[in-house]
Amino acid sequence: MNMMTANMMAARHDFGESEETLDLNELCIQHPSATYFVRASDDSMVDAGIHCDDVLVVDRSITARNSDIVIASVDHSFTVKKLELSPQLRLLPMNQGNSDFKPRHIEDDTAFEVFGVVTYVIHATR
Amino acid sequence: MFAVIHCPEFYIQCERLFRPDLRSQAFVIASNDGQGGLRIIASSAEAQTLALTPGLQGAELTDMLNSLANVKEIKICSPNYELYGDISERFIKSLALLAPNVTPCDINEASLDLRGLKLDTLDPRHPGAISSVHCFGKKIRCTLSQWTGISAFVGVAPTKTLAKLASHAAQKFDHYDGVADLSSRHQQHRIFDQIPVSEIYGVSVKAARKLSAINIHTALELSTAPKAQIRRASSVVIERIAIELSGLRCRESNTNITKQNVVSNKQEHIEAQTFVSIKQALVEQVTQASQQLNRLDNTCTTVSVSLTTAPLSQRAAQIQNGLTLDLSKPSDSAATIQKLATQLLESLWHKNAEYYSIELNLDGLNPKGRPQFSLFSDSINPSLELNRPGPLETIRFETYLSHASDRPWQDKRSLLSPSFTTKWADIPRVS
Repeated sequence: MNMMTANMMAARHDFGESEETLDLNELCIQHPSATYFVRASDDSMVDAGIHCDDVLVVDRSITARNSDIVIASVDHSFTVKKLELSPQLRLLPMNQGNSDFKPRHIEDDTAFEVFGVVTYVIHATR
Repeated sequence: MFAVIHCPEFYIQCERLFRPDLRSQAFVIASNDGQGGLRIIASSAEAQTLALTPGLQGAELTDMLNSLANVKEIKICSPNYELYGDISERFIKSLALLAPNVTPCDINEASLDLRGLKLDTLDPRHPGAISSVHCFGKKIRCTLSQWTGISAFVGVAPTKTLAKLASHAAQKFDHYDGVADLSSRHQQHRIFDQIPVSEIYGVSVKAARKLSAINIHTALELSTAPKAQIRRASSVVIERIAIELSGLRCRESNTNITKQNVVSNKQEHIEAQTFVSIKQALVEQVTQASQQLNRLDNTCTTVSVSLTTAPLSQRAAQIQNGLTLDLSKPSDSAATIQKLATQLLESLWHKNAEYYSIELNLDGLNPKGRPQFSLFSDSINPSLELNRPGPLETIRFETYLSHASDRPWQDKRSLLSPSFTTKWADIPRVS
């Protein structure tokens, strides 16, 4: 055993047995087989902390409730919005600074499906 | 009790999960046919109504696509095995959280061994919450659909063959609502006469013809006909299916499925199939099977080899070819079995076919030194059949072969959907 290994072992001993390194998956993913990732492609949800190019953790095992942020397919494309179930079914953008993003009513004949609930946002700060 | 969970049109479902634009759209998944053209390996229900069925290929397919071009938009995708493999893994992992003893059978199918379990205790998190087979199946179906986005059908029955048939019935008959419980004889017989033998897994078109010649057309007739007659008319494999249909479980000493590249589209893993590479897989199977025989201190009396051209998920495109040879005397010698198996492979092999899997069955297992029964008088008491040696016991090996034609269509790489779940650069973008 060389000096360095001996020192490291002694150090480890002093600080007690080390636990496993923290795993971000453990924090962000409760149901791995039901979790998918998507990437935001605009700032329509910036007030919810979702910026363009952020990675969103989407859990399909959770049943969406009113005010959840969801990934939904509307008329054959995916969108991320706040779900409003009552008084009527609507998808709401969250960007007060940009009035281009407007609430969207979901009519009975619209092809609509909730893909999953967004549980975490991964945002790069630089 | 066993359960079989089957996801029909699996490739189609996987593509649609991340492509809302493909929902309710006629589209086909097609790969290279090896001669510069295309071959359909899966098609959506909408495409099937336009006669674009799996197996269609080459000039015939091109002509059909051309004639449909002005009538309806048909989308074509290359098979994205990375995606299908990932979704399949999620399907198995989700199942494993709901039930014990999950065995993957194919990319889109799994079986559960429910023996020794009270259905009440099946969900560890909610003891008592599931009170019946039907509720249990329903829960599996709903959870799979929500978690993975894939719709599945559930069959529950006393044997694997029956459970497999039950999952087929669950899909075929609307009144089951996706879950068929065939645990009692009464429930089985209610639908057996509506299922032609050709729809039973393991019964090839050829075998169905042979059965039809002795007036066996439905699952009901197959399950009640004298077993010796079935064996004489077809094969020991069909006899075993018939025995399982009548509710007796055949023992599988070892079901060893070796997967080779079946869910991979990485170029370096794909080698052109040759007779040599298939023979290699068979040699490996024989070696393992004869070791198994020796461990059991058994001999076998028949050797069967079958080659399949497409996975279970594409029954329509599937051509299964099997041959069985009886040994002149019971044997456990790897060399003898090898010789027979190779003979069988040589007679089955077609140069232009591309094979998906090869299966080796050793049947008629007997403890060494025990004389072989003179086989099966029709009057045999069914309760004795349980202890009877012979086709009740089998050693089975199946190997999936790499598939040269599964290479995404070279000229149209753009047809390949992104790796939505396996590459960061490819995850879906949402606005």
